[in-house]
Amino acid sequence: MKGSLLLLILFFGYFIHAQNKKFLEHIYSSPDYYYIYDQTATNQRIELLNANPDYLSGLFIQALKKERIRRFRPDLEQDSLLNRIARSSIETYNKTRFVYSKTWRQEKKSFRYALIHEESDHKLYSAHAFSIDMLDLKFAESFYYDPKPGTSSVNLYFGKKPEIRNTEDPDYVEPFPIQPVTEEIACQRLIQLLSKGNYKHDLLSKKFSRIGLAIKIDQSSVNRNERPRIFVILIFGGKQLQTIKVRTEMLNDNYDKLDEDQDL
Amino acid sequence: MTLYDTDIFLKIAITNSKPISMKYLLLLAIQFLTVFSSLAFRVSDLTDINGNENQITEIDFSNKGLVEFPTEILNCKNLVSLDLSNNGIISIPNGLSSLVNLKNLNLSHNKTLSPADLELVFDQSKFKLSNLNLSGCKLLYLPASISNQTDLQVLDLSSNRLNALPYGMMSFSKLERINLSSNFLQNLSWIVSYWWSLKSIDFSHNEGIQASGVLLSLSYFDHLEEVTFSKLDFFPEDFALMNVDQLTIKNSFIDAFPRSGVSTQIKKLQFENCKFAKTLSLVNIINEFVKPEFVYFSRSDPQNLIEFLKLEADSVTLFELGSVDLRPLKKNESLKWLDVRGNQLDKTHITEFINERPDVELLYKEPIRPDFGICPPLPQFVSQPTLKTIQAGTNQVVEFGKSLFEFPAQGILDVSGNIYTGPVNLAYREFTNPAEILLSGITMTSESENGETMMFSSAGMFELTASDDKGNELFINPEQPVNAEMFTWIANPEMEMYALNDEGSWTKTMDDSLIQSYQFNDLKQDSVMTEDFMSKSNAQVVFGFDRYVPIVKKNRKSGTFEITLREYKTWGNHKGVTPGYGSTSVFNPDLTAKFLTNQRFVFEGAEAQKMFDKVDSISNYCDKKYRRLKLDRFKNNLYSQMGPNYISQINLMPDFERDCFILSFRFKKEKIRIPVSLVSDETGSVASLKQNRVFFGLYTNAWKKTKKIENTNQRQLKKHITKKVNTLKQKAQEERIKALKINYLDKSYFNKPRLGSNIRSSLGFAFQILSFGIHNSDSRARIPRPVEFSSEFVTAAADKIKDKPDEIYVIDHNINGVIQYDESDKLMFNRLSATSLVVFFTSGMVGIYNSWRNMRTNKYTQLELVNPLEMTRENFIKRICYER
Repeated sequence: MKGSLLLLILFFGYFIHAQNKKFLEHIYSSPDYYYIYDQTATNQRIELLNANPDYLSGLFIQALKKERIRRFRPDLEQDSLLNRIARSSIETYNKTRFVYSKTWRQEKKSFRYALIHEESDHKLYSAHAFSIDMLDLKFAESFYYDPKPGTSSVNLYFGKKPEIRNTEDPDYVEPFPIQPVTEEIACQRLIQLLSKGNYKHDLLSKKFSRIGLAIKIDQSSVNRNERPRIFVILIFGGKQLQTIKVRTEMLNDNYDKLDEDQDL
Repeated sequence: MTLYDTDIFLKIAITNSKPISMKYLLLLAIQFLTVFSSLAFRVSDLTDINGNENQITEIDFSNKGLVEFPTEILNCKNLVSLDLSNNGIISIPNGLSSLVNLKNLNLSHNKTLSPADLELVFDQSKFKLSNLNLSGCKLLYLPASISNQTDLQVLDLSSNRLNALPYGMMSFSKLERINLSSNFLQNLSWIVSYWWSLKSIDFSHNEGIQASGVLLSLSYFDHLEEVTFSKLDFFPEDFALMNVDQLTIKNSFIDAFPRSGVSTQIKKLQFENCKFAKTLSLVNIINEFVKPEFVYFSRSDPQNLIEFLKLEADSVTLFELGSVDLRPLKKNESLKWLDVRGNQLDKTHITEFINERPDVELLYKEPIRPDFGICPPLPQFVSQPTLKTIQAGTNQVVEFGKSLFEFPAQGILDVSGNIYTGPVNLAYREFTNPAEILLSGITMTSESENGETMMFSSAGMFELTASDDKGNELFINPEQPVNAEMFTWIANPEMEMYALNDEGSWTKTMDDSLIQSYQFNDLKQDSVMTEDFMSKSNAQVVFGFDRYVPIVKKNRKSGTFEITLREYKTWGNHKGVTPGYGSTSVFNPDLTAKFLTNQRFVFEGAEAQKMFDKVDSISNYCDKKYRRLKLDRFKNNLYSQMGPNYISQINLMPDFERDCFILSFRFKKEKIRIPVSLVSDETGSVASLKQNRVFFGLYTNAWKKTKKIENTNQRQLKKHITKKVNTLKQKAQEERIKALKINYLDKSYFNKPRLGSNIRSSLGFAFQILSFGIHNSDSRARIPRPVEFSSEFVTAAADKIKDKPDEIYVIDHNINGVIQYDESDKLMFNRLSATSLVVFFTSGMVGIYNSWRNMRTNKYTQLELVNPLEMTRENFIKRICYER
């Protein structure tokens, strides 16, 4: 019993380590990502089944930049390395790893090592993982799922599931389809989410100057009796040595002498 | 590049009809570069400077009899090499410090040189010298500002009166060769540890030096080429770990030779004037652990050496030992080369040895063929005499070239032996450099008292003949010989005057005396001044530091590489300046490095693995070496103050662009910079913004404290030194010294009226001549390390030369000697010296080999072919001598 327990612990240990390693290797091997964000959010509803995550990411980045400018904060610059880290984490990690805050806190540490390995110019970071509800329906309002082809693109309808399904029945009530949110509302929801708690602090913080983002549509929530959602991993970046001050005598003392020599 | 090479290149370029490739373009570029660089030239006459200031790169004013520094030199802004050796220069102008390109400075044998001026020049210097020669300047102290010359690679301080070296010299991390022989140095061991590029050191003939201490420091070097020392008190145990190619021990008593299984091979082992005890065990140790290829003994007791003849070396040299018995050497199976020249040898032993060991190359006499008379190899290049006509019957001085002749009133006789008073036609030729000697065809071999043929080392040779207006030969009156002086560049007091007799061999005529015009008269020197100097130089300072070593490890979880620093305490609780009897020790604790020992850092970048391996090897290396320095009797992990400090200048600075810290340190001479990030001790992960800020604030505080301590120590040290030095104001003192030096010069030599001539020289020979003819100031010389030339001659393009050699001459430039060989002879030459080989072929072409320029292997000798018919005499001489 004890032996098998030990083996089990070792197995888990290896598994955890392998997850971390897999994530770092993925980052080191994947190419840089840079989202195009020249388009503004429209009133068109998002087609969740055929949604383009890169397009959505571009919209979100633009929304965040606008929000920063509106609140008189320095602009955020999109960072391809931060995008890469966010994408790698969203692709390699299991959903549970960034849904629960405890595991997310542990996984976030690996981001720093990725930044160090890739020699990033901005090593200060703050990473957030959250989901955005994509259903155009108030919270706690009832809805139901009807897989038959109908007027809703996500097969969700308002209210309780009707007992009468026959359309020729005089008591038959036409189901009211619920659609996914429009691009504008999705952006508004993102801003609203980030205007609360820790998120608010980071969004408006002057110490961050970079942003990286990745989106993943939660396929387990689409075409089911669930509110469809998307997962977002958002990373703010900045200079880790921005608050350090160096005395000029120190610079003259040693640093200049070493400049003439090469690195290892 | 020579004309010959250029022709080949042009031929290639013209005959090649293919389109010009990148390779040829590159060759063209190199060609043009060499042509442009050849515009820079060398000057050895003061008048040549005017108008050529910007082109001159090399000035050679050695032995010019200069008392004042020629200020024209200061206009040559592109000057690279300056040679002012063998003069009487006292003061050096500050303007010298503005020659930015100066790399080589030779001020040797200026016995009156002012160290105060040197101090000013080095203090304000804009140049970075790589080669400095201050030998024989009789300096009582070395200016502290010499430590600005951190690029120095070769430094010669021999034959001075130095008591201590300035502590700033520990920054000479590029120093490769240093000669400190014949001084009064005492403590060298601590400063030697800082010369990480050192390859060759000579600290022999220093009274009171602790040679064992220096050897201990040298044992920490990875590899040394040459070490020379004398008066060894004892060999330290760590001598076993010393890795050296050539070891020369002088004037020592040797009863132990601590080498063991861990020791490396010493290829050349030289003992000069040494005494031995326990010779059998010494020989066993040397045979087993040293395994020398070449062993040299000189001026030792031959009885002491009987056991040493069992040494299993490839080549053995026994020099000036008195009577040597060759019989024990017959059993030495590994012996291939035996040099026993200069000893008393039994002829039967030699024949026995040759018969029994024909495989050994035995050298028992100079490998030179006797040569007689005059036989110029190129009659068209024989120099024409300078003619002058004087009127005999009065005392008069006649100047020719580099010689002066003082004819007395009744000094010339006619054929019948009567005193001649009519007009005298004098014809004079001089041969001062080896190329002129070669072209003269005059023999340069002489038979010694023992009947051995030896080579002449010439200080200069001249031919003076006289005839009356009818062409009849005239003679010198032996009762009233002609006083003569000849100026030269060789200060060898052993030289004597020889005259060529009718049989074509040299005979010694009279003794001569060496004139050293600027000999500083020590006896006249002010004793108070000497004391001042000595007290100043006695203020020797030893700097101390704690040792730090980087420790690296890999974090398996994150896959990153981490670095920390470990402290090796050396000075314990020692603080500040501690005056001692011999030297003053200063301990500057590096609080910044100490602060960093508590921190962990992560290597940055994708190259972290490479950096990790490098730092790991450094760490292991330091750890291994420092282990030998641990003091067991202390419990608190204290390490010896002696020995090296491999890691220095530890520093941490933020790099705002890359957003990381740069941890930098110097390992030996190499500077290492590692981009790192701080690891938080609390969480074990990389530090946050606040942690970085707090950490660097504390680091800055530590830096401030370190600087404060350094400044305090510096103030205390200055106070201490000024206490030691005389209370006189230093500047006034230096001026006084300069004035005294000028007074101490032997001016009587210059005041002689006969020297109102154009000759400027610092060295010369004074003698009397009893007859007209060819005279030569010489000493018989040996070839110290004879090596055989291959008589297989090839061109620069490695094509075999089909012509047959007619005459072959070997020129030794260092001793000014010329030897002639036949094709049947073995061509031997001194490989320690600058050598030329001139081969006259039957076709009329001449092949020239210069050791500083051409290739030579065991199989062939590379020659550059020239046609003497297409050259002038001056160009031919230049081709052999001046392009060095």
